[in-house]
Amino acid sequence: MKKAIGYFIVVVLVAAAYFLGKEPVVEAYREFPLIGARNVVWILAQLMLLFAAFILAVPVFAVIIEAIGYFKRDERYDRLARDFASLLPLAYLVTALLGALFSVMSFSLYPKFMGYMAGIFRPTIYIFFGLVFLETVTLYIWYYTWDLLKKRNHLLLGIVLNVLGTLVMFVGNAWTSFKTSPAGVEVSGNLLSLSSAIFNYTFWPLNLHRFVANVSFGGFICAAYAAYRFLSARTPEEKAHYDWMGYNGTLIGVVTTILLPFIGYWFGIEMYKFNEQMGITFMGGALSKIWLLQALVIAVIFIGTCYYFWLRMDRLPGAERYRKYIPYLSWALIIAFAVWSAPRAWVSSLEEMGRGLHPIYGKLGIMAPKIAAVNIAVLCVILTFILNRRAERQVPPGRKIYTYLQWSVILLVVLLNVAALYYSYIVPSATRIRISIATFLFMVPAIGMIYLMDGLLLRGSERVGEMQWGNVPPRSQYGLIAVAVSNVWAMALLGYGRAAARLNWHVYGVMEDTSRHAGLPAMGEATLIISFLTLVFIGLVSLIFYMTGVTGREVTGGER
Amino acid sequence: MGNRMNGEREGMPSGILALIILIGSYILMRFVISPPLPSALTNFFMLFVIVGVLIHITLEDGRIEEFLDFISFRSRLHPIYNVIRWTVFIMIPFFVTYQVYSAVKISYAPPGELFQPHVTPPEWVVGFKVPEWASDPATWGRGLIAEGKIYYENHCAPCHGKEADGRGPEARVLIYPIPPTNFKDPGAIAQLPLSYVYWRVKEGGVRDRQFMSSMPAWEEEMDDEEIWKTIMYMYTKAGVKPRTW
Amino acid sequence: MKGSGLRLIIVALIVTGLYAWFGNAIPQSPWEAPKRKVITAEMTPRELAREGAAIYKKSGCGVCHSVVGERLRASDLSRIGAERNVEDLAAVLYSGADIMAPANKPPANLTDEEITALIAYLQSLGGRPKVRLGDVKAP
Repeated sequence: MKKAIGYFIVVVLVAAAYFLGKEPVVEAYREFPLIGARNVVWILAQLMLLFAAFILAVPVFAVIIEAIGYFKRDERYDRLARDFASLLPLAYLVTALLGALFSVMSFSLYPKFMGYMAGIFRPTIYIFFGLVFLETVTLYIWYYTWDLLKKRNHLLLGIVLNVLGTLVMFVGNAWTSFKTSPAGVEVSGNLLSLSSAIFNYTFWPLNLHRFVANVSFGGFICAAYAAYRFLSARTPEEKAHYDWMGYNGTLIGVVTTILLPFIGYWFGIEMYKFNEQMGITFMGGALSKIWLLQALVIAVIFIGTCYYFWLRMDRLPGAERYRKYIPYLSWALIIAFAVWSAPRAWVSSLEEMGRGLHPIYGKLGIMAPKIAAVNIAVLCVILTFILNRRAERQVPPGRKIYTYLQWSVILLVVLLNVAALYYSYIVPSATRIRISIATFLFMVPAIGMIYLMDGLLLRGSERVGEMQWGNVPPRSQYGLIAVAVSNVWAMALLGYGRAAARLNWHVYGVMEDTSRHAGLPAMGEATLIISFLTLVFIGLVSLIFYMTGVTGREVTGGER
Repeated sequence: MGNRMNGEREGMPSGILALIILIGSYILMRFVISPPLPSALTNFFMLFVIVGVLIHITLEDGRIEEFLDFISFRSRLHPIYNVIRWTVFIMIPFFVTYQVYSAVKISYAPPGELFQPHVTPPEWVVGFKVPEWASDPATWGRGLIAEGKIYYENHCAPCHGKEADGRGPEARVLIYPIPPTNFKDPGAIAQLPLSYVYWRVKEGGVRDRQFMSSMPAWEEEMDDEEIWKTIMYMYTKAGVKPRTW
Repeated sequence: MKGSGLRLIIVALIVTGLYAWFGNAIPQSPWEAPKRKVITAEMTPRELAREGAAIYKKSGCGVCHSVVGERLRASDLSRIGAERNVEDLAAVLYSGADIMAPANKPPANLTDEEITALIAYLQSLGGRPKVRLGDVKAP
């Protein structure tokens, strides 16, 4: 363990020396044999980002779990958090190695561009490495004082660690978002103001989107790991522990995932504000196919999670009362996602073409029905949670009124979305967008109301029966693994999308890509690379789990 | 549905219901909806239906057992259902054969196209400044619009229609890959900034590899001022406003 | 233990395979970056002049200069080819004059080859283009 951290610091210092000691090179591009310079940098960058997400997600996740354990006075949470924290030193090392490899590769394959970036952001590079160093030291102290410090102080230290990690991410985000939406530079690329280069249009949306996505990523990875252990577990105690762990990981993952569409739209709006042509390219031009794929991936994530919760209800004592609603929820989700992934225009052959945009999917292909579909899908997920919660409880008599209120909120959401959808085909586009945003924002108080009513309804209620951890059907666990894989894939896909929105620019509108890789690959080629690096990432993470010995650790005591 | 019986089951077996849903949605997409969905898109949506059916069947242990009994011929069924079960079972090889046949059959149809109504504009459009006199729809004068009407009706109306609804006399023959745009459609020019529309008129669709429509390039027939007046009339007639944010 | 590792791999392969299959199934084509005109040494002066005309338009020379005998902000270029030799033209283009920015610096930001093409175009105004790639030396 100490060795790993030692290696890590050495790698960071070497990388820092490499970054800062680099002289400007005249040659603009070099080539990489076989797969090409772009693909090499792409794969390395994405792998590094996935690992960076992992080492940011695990501490956030671990501290949340530790805090829950502290407030609930439940030993199991604390142990789970600690198990996950033990992955970090090795994960740091892999991240640093990938980061070093990535920077060496990109500096030697794209010398002119990287030299330009380093010139613009020179001060922040010092800050970056300083922060990384501080973060590593804090991690070290945090991990080794788990039992020494008072729990409260240890939690505080964990929060400090997360703040540092988030700051490191912010610095990296400044570089990335600058490439998408440069600010603070002249047309010719000379730096005018570093602070406006950092705080460019997409800086804050990217920060928030990545942070929240990292937390849900941590949750889903945890759930997938638990699923893996559940499937290979032999004793009932083990099964119970990993069932419980999968449940908690999924819960954290899905709650944060629900926030992501909202932040994603903010990201999109900022992109339009920066440059509306870029917005068009991103949403409807050369990159429109990304959204078809994204809809499919998100569908797997949402439906897979819900599938897990529905199957859980098959074994939950007291859930019989609510099981009859589940098929409606599942079909509603399926239909919502079919609408979401409907392409606007799909011409297959001359005979099939008919006359122009299809009256059905041509109309479903634009933004308004998709937003309605997302709202309905989110509502279905929330209802799944509510049913899961209520199944365990005996609803006290005389509180029917709250159920009726809940139903009316749900009905209101559905009616509002249908009405907004109907109007959006009549009114001009500016109004339509405002209506869409309004229905989207309305979801927040609606979900709040539903939960408030639920709290009032179940206040002081009694449990119907004890949850039997460990007897959930094994097929639900495959759902969790598929969700985690899809989550990694979605991150890689949207990372590609964000970078591809720049088209043939290194820095959009400022520095053009004149290499022979300046265009974009066809979507199929891109998905092959994304699938490849997803598999590599999963392999590497499994290796870390294996080498840290978390997989071999025995489960002892503490079960209910 | 949960408890298992060895005798004859009551009601419709879930296998039959699944079949009805699968075949029904295929027929709906290919034959009921007019014009029918393209076959590739139908397959894509069928994926959703199949996943939906699978989820539905695997939601409860009882349902899985019942379904397995159905497809393994263990359960005894009402004679009608039994006939259906056998028919489907016998049809499966034919269905697979047909799928293979249609996959390898030589086809002369043009390759598929995911048509992009709003393609990526070239660089000059990205930073294009709309002339001040044409940039704000609120200040478009009546005289300018009236002048635009003349150009529109001479140049544009044959395809895009006098009413700006995409139904001019020529529109009947221009169907591939896309017929003349209906400007009244909220997803068309109402969604685009002026600079983009100007580019489409100026350079047309014939030269653009991404677009490949038969929209002519007007830059040789009309000067900039005339194009702007035409655009003004186009928006006014269609009753929509350009995107300004 | 081994068995469930295999199961994990199978699920991962199925899921990533599904997405890759779908990504390949949708009709698509790569997006190509706009092609730069390549100026080669084999081009005749006349071909260079044609490229130069496009560069003249694109780079905003016409904001100040006219080629049809009008007096705009700066001198009229309609007979420049007859009046100036290659060295003079190159000197002005590379080092600028009064308010005119050097052509190899922003905002025009032309390469040496583009400047040669531009000189060929300027020679064609009131004369015949004679210059070839390599005749113009960057200072």
